[in-house]
Amino acid sequence: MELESESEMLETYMERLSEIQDGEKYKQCLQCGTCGGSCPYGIVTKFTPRKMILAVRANIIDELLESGAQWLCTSCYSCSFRCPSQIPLTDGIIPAARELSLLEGNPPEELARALMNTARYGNPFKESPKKRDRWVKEVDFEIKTLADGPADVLFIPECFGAYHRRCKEVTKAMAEIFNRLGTDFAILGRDEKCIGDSNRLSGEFGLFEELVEKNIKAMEKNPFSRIVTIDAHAFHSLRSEYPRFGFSKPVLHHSEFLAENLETLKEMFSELEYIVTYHDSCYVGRRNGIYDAPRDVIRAIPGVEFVEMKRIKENALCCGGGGGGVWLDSFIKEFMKERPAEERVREAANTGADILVTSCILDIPMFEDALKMTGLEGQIVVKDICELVLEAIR
Amino acid sequence: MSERKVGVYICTGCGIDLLDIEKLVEIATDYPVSLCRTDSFLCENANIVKEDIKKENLDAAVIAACSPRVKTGEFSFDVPVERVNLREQVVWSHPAGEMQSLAEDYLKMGISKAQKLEREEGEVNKIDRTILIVGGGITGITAAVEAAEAGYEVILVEKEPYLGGRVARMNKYFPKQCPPACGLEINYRRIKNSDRIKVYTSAEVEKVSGAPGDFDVTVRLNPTFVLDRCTACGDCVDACPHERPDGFNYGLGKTKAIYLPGASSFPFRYTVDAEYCKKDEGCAACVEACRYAAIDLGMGAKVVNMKAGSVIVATGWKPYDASKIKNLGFERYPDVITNVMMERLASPDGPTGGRIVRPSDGKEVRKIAFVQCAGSRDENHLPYCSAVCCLASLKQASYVKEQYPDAEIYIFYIDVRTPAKYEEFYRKALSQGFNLIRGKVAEITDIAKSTEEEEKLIVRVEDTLLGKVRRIPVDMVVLAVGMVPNNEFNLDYRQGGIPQDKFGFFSSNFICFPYETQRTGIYSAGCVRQPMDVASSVEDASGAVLKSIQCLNLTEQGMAVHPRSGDFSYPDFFLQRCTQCKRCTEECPFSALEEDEKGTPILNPTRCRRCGTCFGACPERIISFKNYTIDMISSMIREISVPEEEEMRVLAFFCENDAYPALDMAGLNHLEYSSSVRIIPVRCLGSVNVVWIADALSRGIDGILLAGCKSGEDYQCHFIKGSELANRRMENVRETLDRLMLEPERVKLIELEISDYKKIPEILNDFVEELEKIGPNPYKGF
Amino acid sequence: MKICAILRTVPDLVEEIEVIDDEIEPFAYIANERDEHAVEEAVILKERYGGSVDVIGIVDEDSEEEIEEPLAMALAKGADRAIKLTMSNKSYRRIEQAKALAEYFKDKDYDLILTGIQGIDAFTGMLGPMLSVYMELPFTGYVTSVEAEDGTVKVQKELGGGLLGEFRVKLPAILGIVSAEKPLRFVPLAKLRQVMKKAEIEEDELEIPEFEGVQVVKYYEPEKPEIVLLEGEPEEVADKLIEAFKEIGVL
Repeated sequence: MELESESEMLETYMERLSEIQDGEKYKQCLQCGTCGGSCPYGIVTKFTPRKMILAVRANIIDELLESGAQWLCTSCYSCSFRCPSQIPLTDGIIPAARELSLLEGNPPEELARALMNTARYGNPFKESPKKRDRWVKEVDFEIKTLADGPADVLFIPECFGAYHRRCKEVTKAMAEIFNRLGTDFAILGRDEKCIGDSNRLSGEFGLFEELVEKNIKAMEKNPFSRIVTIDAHAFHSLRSEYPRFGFSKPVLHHSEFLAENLETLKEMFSELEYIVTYHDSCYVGRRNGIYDAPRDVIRAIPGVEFVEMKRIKENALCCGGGGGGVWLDSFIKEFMKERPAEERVREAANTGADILVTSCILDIPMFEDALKMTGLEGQIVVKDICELVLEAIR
Repeated sequence: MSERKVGVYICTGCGIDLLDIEKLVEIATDYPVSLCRTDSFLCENANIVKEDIKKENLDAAVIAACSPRVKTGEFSFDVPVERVNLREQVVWSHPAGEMQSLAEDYLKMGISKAQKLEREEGEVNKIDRTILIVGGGITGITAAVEAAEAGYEVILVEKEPYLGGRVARMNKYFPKQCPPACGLEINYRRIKNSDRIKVYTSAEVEKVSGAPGDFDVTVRLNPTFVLDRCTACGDCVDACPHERPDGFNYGLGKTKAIYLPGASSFPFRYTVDAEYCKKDEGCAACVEACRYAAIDLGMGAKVVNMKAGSVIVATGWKPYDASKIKNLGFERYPDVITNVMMERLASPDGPTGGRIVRPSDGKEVRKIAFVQCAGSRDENHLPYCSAVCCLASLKQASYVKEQYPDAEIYIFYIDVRTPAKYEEFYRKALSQGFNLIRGKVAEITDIAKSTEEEEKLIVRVEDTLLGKVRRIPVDMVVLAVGMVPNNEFNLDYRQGGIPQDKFGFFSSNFICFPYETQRTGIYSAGCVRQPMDVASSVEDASGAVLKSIQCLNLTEQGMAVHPRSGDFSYPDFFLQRCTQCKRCTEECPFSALEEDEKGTPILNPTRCRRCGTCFGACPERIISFKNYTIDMISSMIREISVPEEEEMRVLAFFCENDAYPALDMAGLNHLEYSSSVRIIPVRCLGSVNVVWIADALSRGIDGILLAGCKSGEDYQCHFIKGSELANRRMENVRETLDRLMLEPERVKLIELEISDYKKIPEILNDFVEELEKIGPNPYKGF
Repeated sequence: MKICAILRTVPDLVEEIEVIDDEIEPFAYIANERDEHAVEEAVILKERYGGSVDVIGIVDEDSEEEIEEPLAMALAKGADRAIKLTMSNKSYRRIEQAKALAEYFKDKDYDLILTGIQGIDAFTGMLGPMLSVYMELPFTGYVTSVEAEDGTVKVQKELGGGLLGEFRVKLPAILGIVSAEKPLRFVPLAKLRQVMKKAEIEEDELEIPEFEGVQVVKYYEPEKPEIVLLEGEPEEVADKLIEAFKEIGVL
């Protein structure tokens, strides 16, 4: 049941764009190329967002889809952030093209598997939903679930935080910080499904909506006052996309939560003798404008020397993991020798830092991989901001 | 009011004789009119009216003939005239069988209005004929000399210690590549030779209040600490131990705390930067060095009050703050500079004596990038095009080429905008071999990826013509930043300052009246009006001077300025009945009304443009013009025949400016439309008072149509918000309808352009049909 | 070409099957992956040569299997008809099913019947061959691609030792698919839901004779092996490993 013709594809594409906020703005594209120049894959792609708009205008969508360019997007938001016409490229132009590939039935295999797994199991790893809260057994204190009663903070570890071997460490670290701070927190446990931002950005809008509905339903089981999440993409989705579906609780990125509790934490801090640099993750920094909170937290740890990389804040380079990028590794490798994460860890290492602090869960596997690829393993270590904080209060 | 003597004249030419003229005469003479005459060629024989006026002492004349828009000269007399449009809007636009009752209604309406018309008389105002010019850049200077040479007194106020503004800091002008100092020199001489221009530098206009012909201006004179007797010998500079960043050079380099702003500074006098001078710590090195006792470190600011008759705001622009464009590295990399800095760098009196070198290390420039639209045409920064940057960069590229013939010059652009005759300049520039790359620069970093890129700034851009993302290493980057209007202006009016457009420029009717702000007597010129080049600024200055002179002259004679120029009438407030609801003071599009403490309106007649918006707003109906009152229109409405049968009766208020002429044009083209409609022209839809609608509906009129100009962002209303206000007042209308238990569809507002005349039959007929569907007004016959 | 693909569901092993008191706790079913490849190949052939694809979903009477979603998925992918075939009497012998199916197929005139090469539940891989016997049609298994050539199909098969073979099979025929030529096509969830809402799944029943020969005695999980992580320098680990081997008697 493939789409019959290019004009039918165009129609589907336009319909999707019309449902996306400011989707119609593509008509105002100046063809200035800011997007292409800003794109981490601009040099290798056949279709920069600018050219994608041209392809849509010229109705040569087939050629665009065949090039695979739509999958070379890490949703880093640089193009959208800088676009002088404020066209929703990351949220519209690209995922709408991806959706066409999905409808054609031929997205990159690795990503397709992740999406199908998410549809069936609520996580991309093909893990049992029953194991989603298994990390709880690995900490030595009790963690309640929202289904059992109300809480102040609802803690969302999201898929990577719940299942991924390395990322689970971040989840546990954050849980321990909550515990040490005496925060009244709960998790959704087995009720939590993938929050879905990568599905949305991959063009799997239907799946995203279903996940949103399920998660909102799970959140209605008992009252809580706000959400804290260690996953930057979940953070963004819960804060900016979920409200469209009737969800209205405040959502904090864990770096904001740490900054908020900084005075208490300061009393608990002991000295750490590290040189630390900080990577502004796309969905914490550029996308949501949180630049100071993580820096304030790092700087507050006694003994830590904070150094900046060359590209920071609005201009930070993406790790390459977002927008499904973490599932497109082998696809992207065909296009590019050095991946963004490798370029980024080199930049981090050049600062002379021992620790590269991140605030997005995807950064961890991406950067740890990149350290192996670049031979920088051992020279610099990747840590989430809460892991650093936990180390300082231990 | 004593019975007024009205003469009625019915022309029977141009087909009007298709009507039953005898019947019309009969109707006219049923009214207490002095006489009623008919003539088959009234415009030619208008003398008979003139004679009657004299002989019979007429107070007003009703001319039942053609449209009031034609034969205006022939039909203007010493008494007020009411024109009844029997030609375009009756005989030319309706079938023979239907036109008689229409003509009768119009005649009755005309006579009843004429009985109330009063003569409008202008009062000569005593005014101040000085023109205040705010801003001493190229626009302000030009305006000053043009106004002075036209015979007007001028006050020129400049906040910097020197005249010339941004232009004084430029190296060359495009397209002639001539130095600005040359043209400035001529203008300075004109200033020096004129005894009509008072120049205040280091001065700021703190407040303007009052009204055209009578503005009160508060000027703050900031201390320069240097007296007029300074000879500019320069000994003070040698003596001064303190430095300041050189603002004149946009921070490139430093000067002493006492300094001469530029080599050809006017006035040619030193000045002290109080922020960096250590006089408060007892330093007086300059005073000691000055052989002419020209320095007074004890000087304080002075506030002086002045009078002016009209104002030209020429406060100009400032460059967009490039540090806000995070991806382009300004402030992070010293070799990323802005276009205005480049002018200083290339200027012989600039920080490097005119040598274009890298600010970081003073090295020569082998490869240079000009980044166009740095923040311009960008919704994240300045959404508009600043009009000059393309030309400026091409000009600056030639500066570089002149000094370094081998230099590689890259110009990154979205569109090269060199309109009209500047095309030639563009071609000449291109022939110098610049590399123009079509693409907006995405990023500037110093992260080298090859040996070629080391020690360079790397420009990352999508070459959109090539379809490739490129990295281009250069020595220096010039950001073509755009213009931000200097739009702070303290106008002490009920509604605050001068209204701005969405970009922050002082708004004007972009096409018809470019210099007009929405504040009468205050004109904007130059880059505070819209981004423009020097040549356009000079033109703007002359245009604004003309408008400000017109304003003085019209104001003096008690007349309105545009668009009702020549109109003597102005609104009269019967304040005893005012309830201080403040609708009039809030809604006046020109902030002509002030308020006392209680909220009672105070009219400033010379600010008023006579649109009648206040009169439309007033729920107490206490505002009237001599030739336009609530009662006049109400009595016209009372004259409209309301058929008791199935036939519909519609009252339509048509804006004089667009809708009414459109209706005439429909007649001229013999387009037929429903004869159920009775038209009353209004000054503006903003002047339609809800009471008329209530009156008409309670008389049994079936529907009301309001036809005005386009509203919204691209409004066409020459009084700015007529249709918009009418629309807002429709809510009150709905309440009225509710109270009368009438259907809301009975009142309709439409926007009609003058060129829409072909649509008129459809619009009117459809409305009548809609009303037929709703059914007759139940108040018929009450 | 008139093609039929047979689709069965099998227990979803991701969802952890629990055995309590010799009985399997209710568990989730998922489409048998090899069967999905059979459906995929059927759709590929239809796209290439025209014709139609019927997908037959087989479920046992009274089981918790949900074949509707896999069938809708097949429709979403391009199948023309989806038929749910309910088998009376739970049977653990494919032979009974095969007999009944052969009967069912008798008047259906399919040019090709595709089955997945095996299912993870029974691991027998016998349905195709047995159908072949009862329907007296040629069969070949471990097929990875199919090409039509007047009245025959040329199929590629995986052979032992990493060899590939090409075989010509006369139509009508039955093929056991190991994997389709291309990866399984993706179906966005919204599209699947849409098809599920609109799709008409035909239903039919298949009588399977009572057969007492094989019965379930119990289900159980094997004892989990003890896992010991050997840590330390390579030499140390080697020593410990030898020690351990000796302990369990393999050295």
